[in-house]
Amino acid sequence: MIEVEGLRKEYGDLVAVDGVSFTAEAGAIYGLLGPNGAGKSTTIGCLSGLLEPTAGSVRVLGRDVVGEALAARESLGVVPQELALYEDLSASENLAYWGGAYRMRGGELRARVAQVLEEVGLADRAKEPVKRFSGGMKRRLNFACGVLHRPQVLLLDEPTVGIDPQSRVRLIELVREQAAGGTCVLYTTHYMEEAESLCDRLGIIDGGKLIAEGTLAELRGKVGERDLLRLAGVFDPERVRAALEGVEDLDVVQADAELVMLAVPGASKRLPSLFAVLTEAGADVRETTMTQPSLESLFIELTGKELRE
Amino acid sequence: MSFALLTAKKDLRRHMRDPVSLLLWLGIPLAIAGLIRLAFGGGGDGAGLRAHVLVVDLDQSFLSQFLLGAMGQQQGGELPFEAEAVDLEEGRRRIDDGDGSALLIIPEGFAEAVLEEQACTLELVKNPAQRILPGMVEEALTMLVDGVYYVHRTFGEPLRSILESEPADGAFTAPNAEVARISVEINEAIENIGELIFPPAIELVVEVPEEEDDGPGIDFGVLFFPSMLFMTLFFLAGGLTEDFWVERTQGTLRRALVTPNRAAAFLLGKLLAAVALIALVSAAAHVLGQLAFGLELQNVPLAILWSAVAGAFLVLVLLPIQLIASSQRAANLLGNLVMMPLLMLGGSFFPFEAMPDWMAAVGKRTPNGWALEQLKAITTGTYDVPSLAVAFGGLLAVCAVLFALCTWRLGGAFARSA
Ligand SMILES: Nc1ncnc2c1ncn2[C@@H]1O[C@H](COP(=O)(O)OP(=O)(O)O)[C@@H](O)[C@H]1O
Ligand SMILES: [Mg+2]
Repeated sequence: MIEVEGLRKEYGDLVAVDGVSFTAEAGAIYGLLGPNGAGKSTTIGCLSGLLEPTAGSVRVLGRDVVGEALAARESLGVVPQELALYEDLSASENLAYWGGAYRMRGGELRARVAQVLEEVGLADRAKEPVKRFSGGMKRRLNFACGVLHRPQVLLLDEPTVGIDPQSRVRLIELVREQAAGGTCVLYTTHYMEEAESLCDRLGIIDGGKLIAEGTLAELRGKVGERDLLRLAGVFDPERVRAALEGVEDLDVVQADAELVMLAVPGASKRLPSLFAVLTEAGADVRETTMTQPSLESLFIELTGKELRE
Repeated sequence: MSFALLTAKKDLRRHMRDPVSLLLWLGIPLAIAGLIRLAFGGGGDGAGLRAHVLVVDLDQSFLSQFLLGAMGQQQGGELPFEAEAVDLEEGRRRIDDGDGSALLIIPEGFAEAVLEEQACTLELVKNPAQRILPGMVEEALTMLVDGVYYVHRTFGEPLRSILESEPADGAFTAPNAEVARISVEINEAIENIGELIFPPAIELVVEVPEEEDDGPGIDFGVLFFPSMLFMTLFFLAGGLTEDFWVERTQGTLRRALVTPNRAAAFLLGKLLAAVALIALVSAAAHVLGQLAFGLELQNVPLAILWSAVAGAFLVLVLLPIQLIASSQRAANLLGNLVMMPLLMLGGSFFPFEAMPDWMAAVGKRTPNGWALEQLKAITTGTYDVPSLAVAFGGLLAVCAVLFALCTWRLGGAFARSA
């Protein structure tokens, strides 16, 4: 339903999206997981036709979003990261305008507005100007504006940022319902747990590049059975690397003066021997954290940094 | 097209929900109109265009002297006022006898009250026998009092130091040099403001009787009305273009651009709403001009049509500035920078008739000055059909070019930049 091929977007010297390719299917949620500035919104912008790709192609339901822009947008629903609402208008007036933009009219439009307001839990506030809404209510309305016209492809850009827990739960539920109803959903987030619990397929994006891609099971498989060992203290990076070189079945993910990160299978059993090697290399370990295989450890392995910085 | 109509409806609804901005856009030109009306002294009151104000100064302070001086300073005939100092008894008697336009009484303790920012009352007795001049005095005085307030805000410290150097008996004994320095500063400030607004308009006053003599049927107000209207439309157009930044910052522009509609339809919708609003204001102004001010305006429907199309034109002239600027602040600054000279030159602050020839020639070639001349021809019934038709055609053609330029910018870099 969404086919992205070799997508590249430059802003002057900055490469915001660098050769991203993936496909997303109907009835499933495709997650784009990455830290701030990774290029998620830029990717969404290119998909929605708002931004012109520097290179590569994007097709929605087989239609090129640049060459057949208007036709491609017919089937697209977009929930932007920034709110996009008229503050002076009421919730139902906002919905009616955006529904009208997708050629919905008259009774059909009114019925659908009422239905969507009910779904996002704003039916009792329908006539109120949006400027009196809380952040969570605005987020839910923002979502409603994107799904009102029953799009076949739904693009969601971090829809749960800065939202109260209740609204968040409701929104996640609504996203699941969309996919269950057959919509192809593209969901960007920088929340690991959200991506793990919600998405059928995932792309991990960092620095504009898609560094890993697949189903959740496939991605977990890439981490293998290896735990991630995070050691804080005082180190001599050179000596640490040299000392660990000979140790079997171990990868040094990162080694600097204050932090060493290692990927090792069955880390708990090997702790004593590892400590012995490190002490030999003059290390002073003050704090140890062990992470079981997860997206988090995959992200750290792939990029050498943590997702939330 | 239907998306354009939807967008227009949406915008009109939004403008109605935000009456404060609307009133502000309408209020600025009305305030300026008030000042100008005050300066040229209300239409065809031919005979006594200078108000004779009797002033009773019970305060005898630096400030009251200043106020008196400001009113009477241009005895040479520039300001439509002359002030005469009288004592209380004489003043009351003379105003009762109908001698003078108004009697102004400056109370004791006036200067102190102003400097301490306390409330104080200036008493103004208007001569009921005169229709317009006393009203002018009142407006001018209001302005002056405001002026004193702002001067105090600006020069508060030196003024206070002078006041505090007064001996107990209240006689005014500040060092002359210092007073001179301060009054020079204050005078300069006031004159700078004055030069901006007054002199050309006042020259105009002198011309009124002549024009009325050899131009029967054409009332001066009829010539001045289009200027007023254009200033209003210009401000309204300026305010409406700022709404594109609102659309951008609240993300709705980007949402509109990902719907299956062209950027041009969205722009057209916003333009239609702007034109509807401008036409409405123009119609209201025409009705007001005719009913409340008794102006004999001709061809009103045609005039409204012209001002609406000209309004769209003004929007499209100002819009590129908004769409090119790097921030909303920069946009508004730039917008004002372009708008103010155009208003000054384009016959809105003071009519072409009151300008030096070269300036009027330039002014009539500004976009708004040109459109204003056409409107004048319409309301005075002196237009001819072929040249007006050409004007309409030309205006629409230029509008189309500007529209294309704005669409290109709106759908492209303006919406996309971070
Ligand atoms: N309009 C723009 N002009 C210049 N740089 C931009 C623009 N939009 C985004 N960027 C840059 O592109 C990179 C990717 O941004 P973005 O796609 O917004 O990331 P994300 O949504 O993952 O946080 C960032 O480095 C950002 O600063
Ligand atoms: Mg983003």
